[in-house]
Amino acid sequence: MLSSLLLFELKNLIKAKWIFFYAGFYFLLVEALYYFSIESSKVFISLLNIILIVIPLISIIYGTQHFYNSREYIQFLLAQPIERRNIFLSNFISSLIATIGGFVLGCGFPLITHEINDSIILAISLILSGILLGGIFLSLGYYISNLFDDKAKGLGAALIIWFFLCFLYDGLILGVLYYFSDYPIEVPALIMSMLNPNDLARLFITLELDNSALMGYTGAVYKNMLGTFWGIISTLTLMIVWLVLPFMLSLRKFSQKDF
Amino acid sequence: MIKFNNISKTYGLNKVLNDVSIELNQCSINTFLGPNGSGKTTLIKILLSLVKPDSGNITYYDKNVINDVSFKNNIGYMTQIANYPDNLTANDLISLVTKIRNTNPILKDELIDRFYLSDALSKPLKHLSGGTKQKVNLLISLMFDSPVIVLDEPSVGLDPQSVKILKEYILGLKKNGKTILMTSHILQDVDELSDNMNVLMEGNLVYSGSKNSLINDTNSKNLEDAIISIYTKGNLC
Amino acid sequence: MRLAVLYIIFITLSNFAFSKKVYLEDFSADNFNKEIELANPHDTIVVKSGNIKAESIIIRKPVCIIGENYPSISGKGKDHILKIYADSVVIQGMEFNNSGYSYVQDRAAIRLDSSSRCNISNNRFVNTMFAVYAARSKYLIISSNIFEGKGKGEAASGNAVHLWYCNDVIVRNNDIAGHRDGIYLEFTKGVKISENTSHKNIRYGLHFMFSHNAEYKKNIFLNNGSGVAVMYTSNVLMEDNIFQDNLGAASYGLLLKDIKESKIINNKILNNSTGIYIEGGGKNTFVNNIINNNAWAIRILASSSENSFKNNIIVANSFDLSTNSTMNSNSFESNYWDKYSGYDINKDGFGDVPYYPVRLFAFIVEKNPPLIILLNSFFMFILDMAENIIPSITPPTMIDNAPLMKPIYDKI
Repeated sequence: MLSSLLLFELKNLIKAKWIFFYAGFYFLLVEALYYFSIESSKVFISLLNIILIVIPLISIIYGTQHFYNSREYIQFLLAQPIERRNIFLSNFISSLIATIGGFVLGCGFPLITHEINDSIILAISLILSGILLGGIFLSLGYYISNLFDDKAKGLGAALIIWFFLCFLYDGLILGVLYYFSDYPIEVPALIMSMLNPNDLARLFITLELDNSALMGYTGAVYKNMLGTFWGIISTLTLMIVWLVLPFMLSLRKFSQKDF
Repeated sequence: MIKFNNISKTYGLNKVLNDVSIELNQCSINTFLGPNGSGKTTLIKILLSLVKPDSGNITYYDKNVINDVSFKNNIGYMTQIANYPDNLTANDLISLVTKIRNTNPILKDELIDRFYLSDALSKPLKHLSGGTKQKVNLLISLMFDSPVIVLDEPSVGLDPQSVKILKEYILGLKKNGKTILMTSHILQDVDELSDNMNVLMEGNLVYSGSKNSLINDTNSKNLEDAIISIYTKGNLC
Repeated sequence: MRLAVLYIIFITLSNFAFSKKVYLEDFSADNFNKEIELANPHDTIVVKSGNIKAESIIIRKPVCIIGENYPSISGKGKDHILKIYADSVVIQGMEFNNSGYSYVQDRAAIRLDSSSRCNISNNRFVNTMFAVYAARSKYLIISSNIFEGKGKGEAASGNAVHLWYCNDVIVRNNDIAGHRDGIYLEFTKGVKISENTSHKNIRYGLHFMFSHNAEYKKNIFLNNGSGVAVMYTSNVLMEDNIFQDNLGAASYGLLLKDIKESKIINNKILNNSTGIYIEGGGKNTFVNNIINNNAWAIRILASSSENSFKNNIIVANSFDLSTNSTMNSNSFESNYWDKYSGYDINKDGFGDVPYYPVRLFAFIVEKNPPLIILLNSFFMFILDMAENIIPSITPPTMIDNAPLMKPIYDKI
């Protein structure tokens, strides 16, 4: 049942063609970055900002909007003998494929082709964080749209959450660290960073991209808590929690919702 | 056959349905009337588990149907607004629903002929006019020959010729033993089709019964006067 | 210096001409000591092969000891293995191992005191605390030796080459690993240190203090605990060296503390926590260095002044330049900075807008280090941009007015 629903949505997605434009945008971007940069370190910094800012924005907006736009189709399906769960899953997974698929196709492949003999691990961690961040903000978008029935309200909430997590939150950390700079602040700073999926993705990539800067800091706290293996595992795990939690909440909300 | 028992529903502070109980018989056309926001669509959505009631239940042959997924195999439902993933064709949609239902759409070809849909089925839905989309919607809700047919404002957006065909078809369905639930604003349709009329106002069922007894009870000349008289006077039950 | 080399060569040649050569077939501690006792000045003792256990072997006359197939002398753990108190001693082709470790004495495989014109070449030093420890000596040559230390911690290990109050020493083509410091100099003037590889040492690959007028060329300093530290010295030439993979909280490719009037030319400083760290001193010039893939490329504390950086290539570092003060007297001219994004309309190869290498974030982190957790944050990126447009916190004179549009070298 789920597979037929999913196939149907995917067929619609492919026919819509915009996913190919989306992938094309990433492809051109990556190729242009490689063409104009003498060193790939510059490419990575630019891609990092794209992954931390653009992907969350597109995902959270797509998540909210797609759900609102499918409302009548969902009502139509609800009148058919299908479990609500399957309706939600097919809708969510097709959105996931739309947003992440475009990124993987357009950014992942060229990046891996360029870096296959160089910084392949860095390339993979960039792609992996892009995938996870996309999933996280998509499920946040779904939760928002399940929470608010009003489309404008939902869009507003999505933008506020994006702005808060991707931008303002780091300002908050900066403020707290400055204000309490006389105290041993490393552990709270680390905990604060680990509560935000955007910061988790940033740390995950930074552990690969600027490991020596992060580890070269004179205190031992970051090194002990983020050092190589443990840092990678804990940031990844927390990102997956961030993906699953809003997903489960919106599935629950969807199961009880009035349409 | 279908019993709505003491259904209540509140959206926030807004009481949409207040202790509504209705009994519907097999082989009948049941219309639901009322001003906008009176709760007719909500009542139908509760039957389909699109909306969960705060209290009360609905039974079909004495079996509770709320949250029962398999019950929907017995229902053909035409939504008020037809809006599907519109890069695909009506044929894609039909085959999806056929897969979901896992039954043969026995009336499909007949309905395609009746509503002149054969050309439209292979075009992407976004290229179809609103009326044609509504006809596709109608086709999907009727093609499985379900025992219960639920039509939410079926004549909205349809051309007069299709409305006429639809009405004839609905009468034919009744003869074949179907139970039809229909909401409508258009009194003429209600007048022609209703066996049983249910009038809702602000969430309360203010009248349930045959068309003729409504006219008699309100001492009116015709249905229109009767309805206006109910809307102005309030509860008759 | 060159005269000194010629002099050593002359002495060696004259030794061959007027002295005898003794082959020591039966290599035992007693025989070895006896042979040294009996030898006339400038005799050569050739040790065929074998392993002995001995220490406190004392040489008080200019002899030449040559090992074939690395005959080895293991220490007993109570004293230096070989003590040289004479000039013109040559030790070649020998292996010294297991000097033992001591917290009281600076235990060495070869201890030289007031011995000039000695030559220690082609030897192997395995698991020694100090390998070659020279005091008050001149015109030494220490070349082509292999030092395989097995030191555990800083306190219980010594330096491979340790020179104290020496003059005009050549340290060339050695492979040094596993000691506290690879090469350590104190109050030693006029040294030439070239073509050595100093790696995996516990503290510094090269460490010197108060050792003026020195030259360091074509050395490789790799993966040492804290990199290379040079202190309290003036007039040093550091050229064509590689400083690489010195990673850790207090690790530096090149740490310059109170270094004055020195030249740092053509070096490669790659993948270190801090590429170049400068504290105190000043008037040093940095030309044509490649500083690539470090966390901090250059850190200059306010206590150092009037350093100049020209034609360096600074690429793929997390931070290009960091400082702790808004005051600045250092100059930057025509370096290549990969983060520069200006333009060159007149196509002269130099950017038309200046580059400010100190990012606001670097400045903030220098003052409040835990903030490094915000590295690569978009928020900081925006703050950096704002600061770039309207500089208000970072030192306005740390500026490269004509940054290179392309690195001078094709390959990095």
